[in-house]
Amino acid sequence: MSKALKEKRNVAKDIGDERANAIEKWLASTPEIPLYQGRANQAAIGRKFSITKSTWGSNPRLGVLWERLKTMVAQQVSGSGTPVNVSAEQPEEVRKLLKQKDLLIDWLRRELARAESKIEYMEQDKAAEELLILTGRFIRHDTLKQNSESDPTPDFEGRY
Amino acid sequence: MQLDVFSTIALTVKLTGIVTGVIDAKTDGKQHFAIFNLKIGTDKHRVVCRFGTIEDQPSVDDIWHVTGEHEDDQRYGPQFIATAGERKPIDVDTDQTLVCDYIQQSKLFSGIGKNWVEKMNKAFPDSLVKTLETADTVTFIKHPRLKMPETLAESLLSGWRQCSTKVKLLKFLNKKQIPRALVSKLTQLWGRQVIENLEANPYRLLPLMPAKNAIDQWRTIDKIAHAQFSVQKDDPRRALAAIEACLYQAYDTNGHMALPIKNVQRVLDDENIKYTVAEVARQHGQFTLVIHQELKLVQSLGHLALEKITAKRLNDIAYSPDSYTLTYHESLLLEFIEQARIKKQVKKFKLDDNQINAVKFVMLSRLSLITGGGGTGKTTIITAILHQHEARGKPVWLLAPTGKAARRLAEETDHKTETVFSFVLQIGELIRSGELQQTLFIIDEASMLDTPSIYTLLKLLPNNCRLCLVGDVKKMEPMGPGLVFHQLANDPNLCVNINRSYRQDGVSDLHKFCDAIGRQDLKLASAVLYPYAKGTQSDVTWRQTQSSSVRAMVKSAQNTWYDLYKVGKEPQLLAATRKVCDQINQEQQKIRDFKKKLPSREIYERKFIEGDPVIYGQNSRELAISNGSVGKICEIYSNTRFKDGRQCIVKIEFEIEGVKYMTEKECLFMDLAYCITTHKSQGSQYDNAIVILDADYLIDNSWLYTAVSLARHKVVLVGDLEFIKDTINSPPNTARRYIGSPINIQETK
Repeated sequence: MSKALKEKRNVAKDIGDERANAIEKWLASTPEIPLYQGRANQAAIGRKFSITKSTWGSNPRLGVLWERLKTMVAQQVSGSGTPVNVSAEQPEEVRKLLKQKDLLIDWLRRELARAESKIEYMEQDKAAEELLILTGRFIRHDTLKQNSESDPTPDFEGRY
Repeated sequence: MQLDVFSTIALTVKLTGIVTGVIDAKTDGKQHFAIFNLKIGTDKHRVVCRFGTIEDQPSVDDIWHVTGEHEDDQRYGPQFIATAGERKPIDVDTDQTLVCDYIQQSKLFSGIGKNWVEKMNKAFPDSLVKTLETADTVTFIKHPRLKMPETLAESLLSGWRQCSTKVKLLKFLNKKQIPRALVSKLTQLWGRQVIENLEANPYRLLPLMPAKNAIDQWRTIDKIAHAQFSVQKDDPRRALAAIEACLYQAYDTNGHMALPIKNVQRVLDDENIKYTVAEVARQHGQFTLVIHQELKLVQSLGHLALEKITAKRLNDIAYSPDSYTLTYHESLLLEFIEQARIKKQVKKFKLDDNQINAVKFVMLSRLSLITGGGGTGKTTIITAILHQHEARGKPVWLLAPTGKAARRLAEETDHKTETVFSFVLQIGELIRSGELQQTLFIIDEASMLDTPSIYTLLKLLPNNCRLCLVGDVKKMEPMGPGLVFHQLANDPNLCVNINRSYRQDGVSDLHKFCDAIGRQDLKLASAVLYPYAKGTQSDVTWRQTQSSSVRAMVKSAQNTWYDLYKVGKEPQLLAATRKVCDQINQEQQKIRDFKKKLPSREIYERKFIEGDPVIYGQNSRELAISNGSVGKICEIYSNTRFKDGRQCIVKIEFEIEGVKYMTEKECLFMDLAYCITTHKSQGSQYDNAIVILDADYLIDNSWLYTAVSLARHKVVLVGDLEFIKDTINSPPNTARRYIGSPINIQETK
């Protein structure tokens, strides 16, 4: 290996270390980490500290720091109750809207399950009615199933 | 060189595959017959399972194992004639290729096509069933060879859950020796909780067993309960089911809605059950039985529900606050009378005071009844009411219990008339379009309506409608269970009775005789009843049989029929029992077919010939024909013909419903109609009738009254004169039908 090449490498390593130091210092100040789709935004952090995509991959210290960043973001997101696809940079109104959308999806899922069970109940009711008309025989089809009709229905924000 | 004789020997083959289509399936109640397509890999076989080879009927997507021989049929080509066959549940021992085929084929697994099935087969070689039984959606989402989308994984597992519920149920029924034919009924009623329900009480099977001989059915279930569920002889569930069986049997055979406690107790004693009815009902039957202390009757909750809901709906209609007000207009009545006079082409036509009162009464009532015998002008009153309503733009629906009665009413009123059954079929659409609001419903021949029919109708009618029931209270009780019209007719606030007959100027012997039966007036009846003689001009005659045997009665009836047929007065034969009807039908058919060799066919061991008159014995939604519809066989096909995707064997022209093509299975409810029972002929009218008094236990005053009132001009009674006299004097059968909760129409405050 030539001396010039060796020096060039040392410089690159130094630059990488310098950037790593800067990120460590930044992380120590509990910063707001830029996010993209609920995950740490590597490109945005890279721009902030002038780190290229190749430097993120080649410098081992930066590799460790990137993993730490991902963990921190994951903890931050799960702890905050913020919708998963909300970026910190998005305005408050949009964040609210997205949170509401998540709640709506959850509510629709619950409603779907409820409707399916209601259909099952109604089908059984219809079968019992047909049996009554055809044969005069009455079947208590809900002998083992209680409260299926009287369950209160929560609204999409989970209120009863 | 010598050539050997080449011979083929059919070999017994075993096939296991998926049912992809059922071409034909029928049952005679015990045994099953089916023709279906079975897919094995890429091969398809047409499988024929004759009666006695299978225990239940296949349905699409089932896995079936059949043993038999391949055969090349001249008409249908290659087919597999099964000597035995059974439905196979899917479990860990099922061949995985078959499981993959099943998942691909079944509608339960929406979105899972051939590609996904192949991927799963590779991802879980020899362990797909086990994985589906135990794994969750994540297993399918994260598996490196699958990476299935979440929605598909959910669909897969939900389909599998449904499939394994059915499999578990089949295994359970097999193990407990419960008829597998009950699977679909059980699943419809209890969904995924069938096993828990039956484990809790095996006698819950009783209501699902065929509606015939309920006590025998109870004995069958009792054996299963004892052997498979360890139910002891002193178990109260056993006694409770025995009481229910008594009530079901009385409902099915005699139309009783309840039974005296002492009658039921006798059955319990006969079965060596050491409980009293009251004890069982009080302690264990709170969800099944009701004791009516004052009436000393016990009733099944189902029968009570039918009665109570019918009564409630009648009360809703009678006192609905949403109902519309309508007044009686004399000018409209005069207008109607003038129109009727012109139509009848008479110089003078008028309604008597009683008839005018009936019109007024119906116009001012939300719920009303008109009763009266034949020829008293009930149809004229209906037409007058129609005129009053329609002049003010208020819609009226005319209904009748049978096709014949509906057609007669339509002819006489020039107004569209439906059977109750066909009206119920289209009611959904009418409710949606709002066509039934503020409508008057007039039901003619309402004495024939049984409780379940009127229950079905009333549940669908809006509260703001009006209901007018028209009939003859002296006629026999409905063929089905319960007694609605006869009960309501006892309420003077609801019912108006018209009694003056205008048929044949009100003085014909036939009318006098009919009236005398209704009033149990033996003296008057005897005065107009003459002995039968060939060529007699008398309206009412009796023909003494040589003995009281069925053979002698049939012979006398047929001789009489021939006498009248020869003079152009072809009569309708009427009897009380099916046995006599069957015998006469067969003989009449032979006479008609004599030396003619008309096209014929055996259907369920009964012969039908082209030109035979037939009667249909069931309400059929698919064919849109109602119980009691009468028609004539136009054509019998030697090869089945495809009509509307069904393999049909006969073409029948029904009097009301028109031409219908019927499959063999649909012909199960068809009977010859040379001779029909009086019960089935209600609602019809015949110019001449021969009434065979063939069963003393079925014949009473109202039966004879009904049979005689079906004739317009001439009636011949075949039977013993003393028996005819006793029948005229006997109490009507309607008085012997038990009702648990009588209908009470009164305003609730």
